[in-house]
Amino acid sequence: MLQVRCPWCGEREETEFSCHGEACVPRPENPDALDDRAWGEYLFFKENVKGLTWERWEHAFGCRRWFVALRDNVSDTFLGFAKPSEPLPSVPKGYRQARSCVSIPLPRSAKGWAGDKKTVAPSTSRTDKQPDKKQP
Amino acid sequence: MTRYSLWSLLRHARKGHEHWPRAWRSPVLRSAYDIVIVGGGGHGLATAYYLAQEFGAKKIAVLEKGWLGGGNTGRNTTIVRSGYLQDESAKIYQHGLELFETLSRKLNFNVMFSARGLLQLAHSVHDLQEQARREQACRLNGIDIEMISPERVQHMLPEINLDGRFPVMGAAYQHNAGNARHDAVAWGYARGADALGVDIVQNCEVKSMVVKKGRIEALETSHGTVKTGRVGVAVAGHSSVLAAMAGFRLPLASVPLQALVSEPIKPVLNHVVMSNGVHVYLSQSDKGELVVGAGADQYTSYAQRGSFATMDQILAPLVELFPYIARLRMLRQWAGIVDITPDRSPIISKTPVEGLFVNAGWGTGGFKATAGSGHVFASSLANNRMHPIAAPFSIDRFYSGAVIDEGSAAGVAH
Ligand SMILES: Cc1cc2nc3c(=O)[nH]c(=O)nc-3n(C[C@H](O)[C@H](O)[C@H](O)COP(=O)(O)OP(=O)(O)OC[C@H]3O[C@@H](n4cnc5c(N)ncnc54)[C@H](O)[C@@H]3O)c2cc1C
Ligand SMILES: [Zn+2]
Repeated sequence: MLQVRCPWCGEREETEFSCHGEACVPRPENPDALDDRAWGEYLFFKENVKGLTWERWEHAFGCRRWFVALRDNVSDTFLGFAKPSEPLPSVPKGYRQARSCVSIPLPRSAKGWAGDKKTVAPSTSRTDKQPDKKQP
Repeated sequence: MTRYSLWSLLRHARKGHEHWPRAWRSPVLRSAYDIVIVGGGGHGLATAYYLAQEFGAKKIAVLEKGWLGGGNTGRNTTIVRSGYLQDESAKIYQHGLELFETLSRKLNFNVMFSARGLLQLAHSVHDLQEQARREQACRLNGIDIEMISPERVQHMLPEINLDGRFPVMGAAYQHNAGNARHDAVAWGYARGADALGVDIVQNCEVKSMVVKKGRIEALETSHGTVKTGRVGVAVAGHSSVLAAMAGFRLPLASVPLQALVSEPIKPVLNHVVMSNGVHVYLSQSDKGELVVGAGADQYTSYAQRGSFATMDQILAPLVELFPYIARLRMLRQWAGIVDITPDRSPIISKTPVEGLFVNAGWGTGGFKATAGSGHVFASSLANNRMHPIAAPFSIDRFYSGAVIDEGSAAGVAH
């Protein structure tokens, strides 16, 4: 059983929570302007990354509030939790070196979470292609 | 390849079974192939077999990062059925079921397909209505399913508790569904493909892809570079990882799905039993173990473990339905990483990269389709044109909206 730390209630058992998938998927700013392709991309296509992933969790059988968790889904280790008003949890120092096999893609848009300029994504270098950067 | 027969068995028995030849070679990876299949699970191996056997392809390789069938093929609960709701699904799963019926003879390898009949339990009026709808849809597609009464359920499953917390109000029964031996399916296809000249290379991981001008040119592997213009990816839970190598995303979530087996006991269960309502499915193996399948975990993970909470959730209703199971010890528990699509139907498709095809998204229920999927995928790869049964399962459906929704038909599909 995983222990999940709700930023308000503290550590509780996994069964109190529901996981709502990848965080930071930017909502289309102008839905009317989207074509079928862009809608499909937004609704269905996931990073589904193997490694570090920022996710939205809900303390469903608790305070019912939402937060972001950073998890290594190869080992199922949680690396950080944040309230919507806080910056995204960042990758602990040395983590990447310690686990060289793990890929660390940036969230697609740090804006997607709180819309807050201060909510900047952690500074990891991602050199590979990032197709959605320019998406509205 | 030595043909397996009663005579070969007797001949080898005389020599104490010490000189059986290897079932397949361990070839060294060559520098170029016409077609490369990534993933040595059932789907990849079946694809390679049909490519060589039926579609006359030459110079084929199967690259497997671990051992053959070590992915979901060797981890599943082996249920083979075809009672799906949508027309497109009915075609592909029925194609798979029909191929299973004659597979042992075709491969000269006993895949132990046993059409012992499958019951899908209904616990509520809603379940009954949903199943009746599916029964009718199946019949229109030539799949023989009937609704049966609680009395008949009791007669077929004497140990079941009809009036517990999950009352049994009836069941949908498919008489020609059942189980097959998962490892044997992988090994049978591997042996058949190898005999036709396919190079099956184990412990060979694809690490990256060389894509030039939108075309696949080569694969970088742990055994060096392989040049090829045509690649079929059949890596189940790792499909998104391979797609990322080629620079695109897929509509998939990789989540753990788990199963467990009990200590072996005398025959108590003649059929396969499924309950979508409580997400449990059960059969008895030929060794006597009860094989129990659970639901999928709620979060993505590549740790092949499975959550304790999920197991807990299915064991409680299981012992309600079959009280005697409470007294059995469970021997082993494991998980596989299944690739789930939004509409719970597979993806058999070309991709944005020319020459690169994917066979993915079989999620919690692709073992039953191993033969059918391999067959239509091989045809598509050989002809560079999707087979008519495979065509509706294109990635494009997530843009056009022509999804094939099996999600409502069964929260889990095994
Ligand atoms: C617990 C459980 C129960 C299930 N029960 C049923 C059931 O009752 N009935 C049913 O029909 N289905 C069931 N399924 C689903 C079924 O197991 C799968 O859909 C099916 O086996 C998928 O086969 P595959 O060949 O596509 O994938 P796999 O057998 O997973 O093969 C993929 C292979 O690709 C390899 N690979 C991955 N990455 C790379 C790489 N980079 N390079 C080289 N190779 C790579 C992997 O090592 C693996 O061997 C179940 C699954 C699970 C986990
Ligand atoms: Zn809380």
